[in-house]
Amino acid sequence: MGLISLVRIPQEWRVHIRLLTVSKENQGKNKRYEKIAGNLLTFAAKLALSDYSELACVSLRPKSQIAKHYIEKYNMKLTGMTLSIQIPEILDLIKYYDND
Amino acid sequence: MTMINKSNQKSIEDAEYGVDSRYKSKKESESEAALLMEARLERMKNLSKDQIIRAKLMQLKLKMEEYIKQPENDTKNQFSNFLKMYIDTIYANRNKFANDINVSAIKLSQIINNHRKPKDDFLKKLMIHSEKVYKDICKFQKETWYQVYFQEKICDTISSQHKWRPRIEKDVKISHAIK
Repeated sequence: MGLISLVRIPQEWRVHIRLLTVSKENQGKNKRYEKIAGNLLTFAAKLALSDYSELACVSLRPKSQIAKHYIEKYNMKLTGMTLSIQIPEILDLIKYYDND
Repeated sequence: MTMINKSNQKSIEDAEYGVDSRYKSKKESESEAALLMEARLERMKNLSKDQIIRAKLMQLKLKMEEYIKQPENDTKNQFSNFLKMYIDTIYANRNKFANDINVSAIKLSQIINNHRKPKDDFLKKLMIHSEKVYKDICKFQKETWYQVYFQEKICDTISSQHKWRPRIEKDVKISHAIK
């Protein structure tokens, strides 16, 4: 359904998403499942939280055109070219996708 | 009114279907990391005590779930380690927790220090306490503490076979062979 490539950066209490992709059959109008990207992001958030607790952070560096989407949909913050999510927003993300 | 041209609309759709998020160079990655750390530290200053407790409790839940999923684990005393984390995250004093679940402070201390095994009543009280604590934080499966306890028991038994098996095996025979 989807694929994510991550790198753990323990010295910065951070998990960086290198690649995130959703399978073709789950794209467009006729997609079988929704919210795959959100669930993959939540997976990364859980890894970060499990390793780094209240210091946890998940980051990604999207192209500038699509950064807005991640800021609005996932409540990520932009610093330079990097988007990130940390506590408390990580807790909200996990709670939302776990209960969804 | 904001005009979204076709190309922008496509970018937004694509954002949900995938993102190549690799940095272009080591230099870019390092300078971004420094900027990000500075911003994060600034945001961390605003974290409340309550938010930190919530993060720690969610971390504990994730760690217990990871532990339960592992078929084999050599880590000793995982139940009591998780119990310590749980109590110390919520309470400044362990005796207060003992009081809240109507268990003597000595009994609790013995369980935490692996001098006594938790009885079924203790596990039930812990289950109910956790349900109440996690209610507004995240989903918490009722059976988690039981699963951790028995997972530890299973792992201990299997990993120490060389010690108990020779003695126990002597008492086991198959009188009716199955062909």
